[in-house]
Amino acid sequence: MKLKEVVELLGADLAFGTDSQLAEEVQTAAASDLMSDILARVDVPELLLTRLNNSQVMRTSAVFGIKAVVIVRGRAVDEKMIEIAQEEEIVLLTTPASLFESCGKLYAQGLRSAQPSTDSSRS
Amino acid sequence: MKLSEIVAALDLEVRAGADHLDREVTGAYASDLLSDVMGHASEGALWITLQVHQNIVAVAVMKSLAGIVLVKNREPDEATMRKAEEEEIPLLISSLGAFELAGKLFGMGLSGS
Amino acid sequence: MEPRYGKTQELLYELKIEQVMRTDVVTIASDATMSELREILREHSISGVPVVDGDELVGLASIEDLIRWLSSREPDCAVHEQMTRDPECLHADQPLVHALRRFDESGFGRFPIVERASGRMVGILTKGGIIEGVLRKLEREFKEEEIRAYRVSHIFEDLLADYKEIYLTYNVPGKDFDRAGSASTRMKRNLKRLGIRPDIIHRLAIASYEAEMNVVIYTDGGTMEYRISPHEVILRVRDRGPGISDVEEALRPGWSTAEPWVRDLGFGAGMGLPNIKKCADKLEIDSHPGRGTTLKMRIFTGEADEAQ
Ligand SMILES: Nc1ncnc2c1ncn2[C@@H]1O[C@H](COP(=O)(O)OP(=O)(O)OP(=O)(O)O)[C@@H](O)[C@H]1O
Ligand SMILES: [Mg+2]
Repeated sequence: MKLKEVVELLGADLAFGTDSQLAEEVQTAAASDLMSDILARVDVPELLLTRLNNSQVMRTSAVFGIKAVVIVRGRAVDEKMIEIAQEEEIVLLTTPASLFESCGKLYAQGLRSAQPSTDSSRS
Repeated sequence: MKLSEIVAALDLEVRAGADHLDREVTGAYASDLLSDVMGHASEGALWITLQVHQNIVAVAVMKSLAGIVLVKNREPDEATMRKAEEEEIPLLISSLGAFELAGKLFGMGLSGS
Repeated sequence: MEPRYGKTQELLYELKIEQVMRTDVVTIASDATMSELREILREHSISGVPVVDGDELVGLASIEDLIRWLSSREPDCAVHEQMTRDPECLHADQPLVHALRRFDESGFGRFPIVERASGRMVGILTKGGIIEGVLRKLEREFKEEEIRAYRVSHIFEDLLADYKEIYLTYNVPGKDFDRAGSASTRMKRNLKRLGIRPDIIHRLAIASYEAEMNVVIYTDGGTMEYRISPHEVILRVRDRGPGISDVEEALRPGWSTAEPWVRDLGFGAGMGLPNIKKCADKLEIDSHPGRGTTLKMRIFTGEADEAQ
């Protein structure tokens, strides 16, 4: 689905994102509140859903090449996050919905995880 | 919905609390932040996380959660399993990531408040 | 100039209407008056608007309609009396070249754009919009080409020496969470500019960021030094303590001493060092409790077969 459809589906507020970014298609998503878990993945998800609202979410997304970040539970984003979003060209959304519900709705619309990580913590 | 139905439908492995799967699950909460779960998860919810250390059991007990599902085949520590068994908290494992697991549970009708 | 022209043509096939149309469409109600139309056109400096009846698109009113009405000196009337009825619409998913052909054949100045499935109006396309869209895209591609022209191999080829490397260092202040990670993201940009292969940049960026975050979280600060030579990048991350008492243990996935406040920031899964190990071709950790830690990682930048 298109990012602008994600915005509608989640009743999200757009903290940063240009028209042409919002016209882009996304097919993969991940939900995580742990940065190293995200970075341990083999495939890069296009969309990241998280409850964390700090600069590191944006930096991690920039490092990993994530297209769009959705902050759940209506948590506020600060100037710094928006500044990094702009600099690194990452779409930044906030939704009042919970992480669970946001994942559920996006999954129902056909979004899937990028290939699951080969989990190195599996012993 | 009973926890046992979810275990069967999603092919979850049971690492602890096998005797307590007849519990009613009233919703689900996905989070890897203990303080977030402490603050916002509601009683009877099934908790989706990739945190494996033993504090998760304490959080589940305090919030009266229905159980914990570890995603992406995360294996809990020995101590976590022991504690979960003691505290009667079902500890389950899914091969799916949090996004897809939440997607499937939502599709089964669980709510996420 | 010839090849550029070819590129533009290619873009017209590649780009979809929805990528260049305006989505914030100004509309006018069919029972609005012609003088209201004049105001709307003037206010938004546009030359035409779709006319709607509730949600339904019923016509197009343009500056030509306005001029015709003005010169006829008729009294003010409803827009629907002067508009073009049942305007031709284009689909959002059609290639731009199709739109261009329709502009050419019809002589119209604008087309409402509708979504194929629902028939809902989702935008408006003018010739100006097409030009802007193509220029934007061309500019982006041009930038990418420019970057390629700067390829690190060229830089190294242009310099004459027996040994060549680019040396960049960054200071990493401890406990400064606002700036944490900025060395790695800045470095990632440099590596792109140097034309290093994207999959290698990806690994470097991850390893560098994890190391940087550890310095911010666990130490009072340190430095990151990158040595970029034609076939490899060496990254040395040094900090001023407290050191890691058992390096072997620290490399185990899931092993972490992070305090709750660190976990609340999204760190402390004990995955950082394992991630670094996975990303680097070679990793050495030298740590002295009380004094500090040095991580040295090497990543080969040549083609896969060069990375022996
Ligand atoms: N530069 C350092 N100085 C001192 N201790 C360190 C340093 N880097 C890592 N450590 C120690 O090693 C442990 C493991 O580090 P690692 O990066 O693998 O995981 P983490 O930082 O705890 O969690 P994550 O990286 O997943 O957020 C840390 O908890 C810390 O105790
Ligand atoms: Mg770390």
